[in-house]
Amino acid sequence: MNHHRIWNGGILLLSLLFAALFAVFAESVQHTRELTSLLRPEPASGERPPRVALISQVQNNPFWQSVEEGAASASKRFGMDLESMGPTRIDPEEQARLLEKAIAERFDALLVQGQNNPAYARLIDEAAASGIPVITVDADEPGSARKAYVGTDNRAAGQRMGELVVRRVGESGRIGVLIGSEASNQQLRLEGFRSVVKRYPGLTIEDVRTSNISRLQAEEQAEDMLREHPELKAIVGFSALDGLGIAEAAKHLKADDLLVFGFDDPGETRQEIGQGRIAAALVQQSCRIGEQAVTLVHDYLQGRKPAELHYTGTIVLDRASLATLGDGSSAESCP
Amino acid sequence: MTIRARLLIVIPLLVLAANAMIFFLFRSSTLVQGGYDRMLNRILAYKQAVQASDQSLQSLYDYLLDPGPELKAEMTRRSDALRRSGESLRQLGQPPAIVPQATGYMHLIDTLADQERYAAEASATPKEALERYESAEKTADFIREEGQRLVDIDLGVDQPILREIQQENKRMTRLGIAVVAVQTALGVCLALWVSRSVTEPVGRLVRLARHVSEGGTPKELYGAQAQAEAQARAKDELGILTEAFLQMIASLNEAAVRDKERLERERFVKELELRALQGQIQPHFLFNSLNVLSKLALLEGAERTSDLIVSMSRLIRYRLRKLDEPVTLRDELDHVREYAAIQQARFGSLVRFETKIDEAALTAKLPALTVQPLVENAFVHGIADMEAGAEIRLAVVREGSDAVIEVSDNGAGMDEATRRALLRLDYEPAEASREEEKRSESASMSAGLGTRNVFRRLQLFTGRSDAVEIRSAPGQGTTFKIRIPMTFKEEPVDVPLVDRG
Repeated sequence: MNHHRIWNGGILLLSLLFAALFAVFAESVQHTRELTSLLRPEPASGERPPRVALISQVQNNPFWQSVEEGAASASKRFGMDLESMGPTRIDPEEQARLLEKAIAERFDALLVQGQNNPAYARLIDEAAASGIPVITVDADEPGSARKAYVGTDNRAAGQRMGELVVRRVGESGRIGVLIGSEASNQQLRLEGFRSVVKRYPGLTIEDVRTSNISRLQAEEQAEDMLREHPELKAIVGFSALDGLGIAEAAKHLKADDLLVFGFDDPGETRQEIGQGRIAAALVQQSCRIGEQAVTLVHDYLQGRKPAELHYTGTIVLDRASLATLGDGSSAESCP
Repeated sequence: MTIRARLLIVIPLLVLAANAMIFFLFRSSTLVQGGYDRMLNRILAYKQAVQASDQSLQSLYDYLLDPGPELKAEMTRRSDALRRSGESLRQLGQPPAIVPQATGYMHLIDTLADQERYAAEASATPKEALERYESAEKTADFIREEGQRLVDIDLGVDQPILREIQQENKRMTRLGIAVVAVQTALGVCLALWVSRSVTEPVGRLVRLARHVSEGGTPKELYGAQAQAEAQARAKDELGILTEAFLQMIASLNEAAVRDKERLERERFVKELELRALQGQIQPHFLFNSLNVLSKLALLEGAERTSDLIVSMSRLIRYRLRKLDEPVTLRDELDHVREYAAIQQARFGSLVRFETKIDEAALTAKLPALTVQPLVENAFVHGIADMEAGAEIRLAVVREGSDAVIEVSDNGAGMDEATRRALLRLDYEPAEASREEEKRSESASMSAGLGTRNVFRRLQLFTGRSDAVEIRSAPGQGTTFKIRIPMTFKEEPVDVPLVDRG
């Protein structure tokens, strides 16, 4: 009888072990199957979601990354495929080439940065001719067949910056300016800025240089400028990394009285503002730009004709506003 | 569960489990292989499209340099090949993760094909054609670039999954080994379990059979039987077999007991016959002599003597009967009367012998010489020492289906031990005869075959234990009560009968 119990128990135990092992085995098989289903191609049929390309000015740039995030979240919401591309460093020719390629790839819509360049405008016209709506972001391409512009009103932003500078520097003094590139947005900002400075005879713009949207070049140019014009009261940067570069240069040359004005909110801008190295920064709502551009594309594909200009506005970031905003990770948060 | 059912469940289950595992392994390796194949096919297709675009572009260039039907045909062929490569890409399909890029790639191919056609259409105006060719060339560059990028993306997307699958496969192989090992162990255990469930009961049955056939000690037999009985409770084929076997043994035992009883009866009868044979010569001689004596007594005018001698001779004649043949109660009672007549001649008025006979009971059959020895016992032991007033009563009544014979005296009676001894059922011939010898010595008178013999014979004859009853106490007299059935069931007795004529 006892023997029997041992036997039955043993067999039961083995059976349970076997069943458990088998279950794990089956689970493993199931997992493999699930994995292979990931590899299985989608049936090449049915409606493809609209494909939208975002050609940014440069990759790995906080501003453009933020634009991309906004665009990605919106396209996800509308069920569109967003593909982002852009040169690895500032290179308008590469941008044009990418635009050409995007046209050849027959995207359903394109988001590009205007370059204030007739050749580029022709490409946009070409795209429009082959039925691809183009929306310019960040910088407009006036005179092209782009459907709309989404971004900062660069002239207004330049004016605002001017007012900001006047408030801090006063009505007289010499000012240096750094712009990112010759792109239309930079030019417009500068224009707006000049229009304000003109109102104050005591204020002069001593020098305007290009940083190529590079922090290192901005630092270099700012240092150069300071050496040449040590009397400068303030240097204003109109592209994203200029502020940081100028602040670095000021620190380097121990120009502690220099007021630094930046544009946008990359990297340690907030920290620098907090430490007083940067007086203020004018921040574009980059995320909202991407988001709104995609929304416009969606509207257009739905048959609604968009208005031509969509300005997203700017936010002033200085010590006072930092205190009210708190130390959030980013001032521009897409709603 | 029957052994058959056990086998029918266990074997297919094990086979099924093994097959399921093989199937799973095979299936997953097929899936993985399919994944690899598809990936390779896609990569080949990307590359093929690049090749086709380059070739079609080359043939377009050749055609534009020297527009002619031959080169035009070649160009058209290349262009078709390019479109086909795009189409085959579309048919292959892509994993969800790279569908957008792949779609762009296919569009690039379409664009190139369109541009090539557009350029070829302008072959008449070389300047225009060259311009269009250049844009096609640009697109071909894009295709080359995108083709490489797609290969990279596809590999980038698939590689981690394939690596994970590989890892899963390795895990599965290890698990498979464990499963096979456990399954083998389980199979061996189940095989042993099933075979034990056959061999063990069979072994037990064999042991029991050996015990039975060799006539082992009852203790051993009992042990083996108890085990077998436990086995019989199992509801499989061998349980049923064991049960049947046990029943056979039980009926065998019963038959043996019956046989033993019958043998005893036969032996007993034989013994009686032997005794009778021993006394044969004497009775014949006596019988003849008694006839002569009776005649002589009659001649001499001694009628009473003659009568007594006749009674005597009848008595002897009756006693020469076959002992195993039942007689009617009437015959037995006649014999008792003859005996009583002789005894009364001896005791005279000292003894009163009374009979009270129910005629209805006289047809009952009983072994010869059963009532007479009781009466004789009453004469010899019961009242022998009484000076006067001795009484012996013989009563026969019918009670339902039984005839009841009562022989009672008012003599010395007996104590309880003697009464018990008389009623003892087991018969020991040697002891009985020794006792008889003793008794014949002490009682001096022939007590016939002895009362105990009578009882035993009656019990064997009627087959019931209540055939004889004794009521007695010292000084209170003795009453023997015999109960026999009115209808006698003949039982075959295969003892050869000895003629004692």
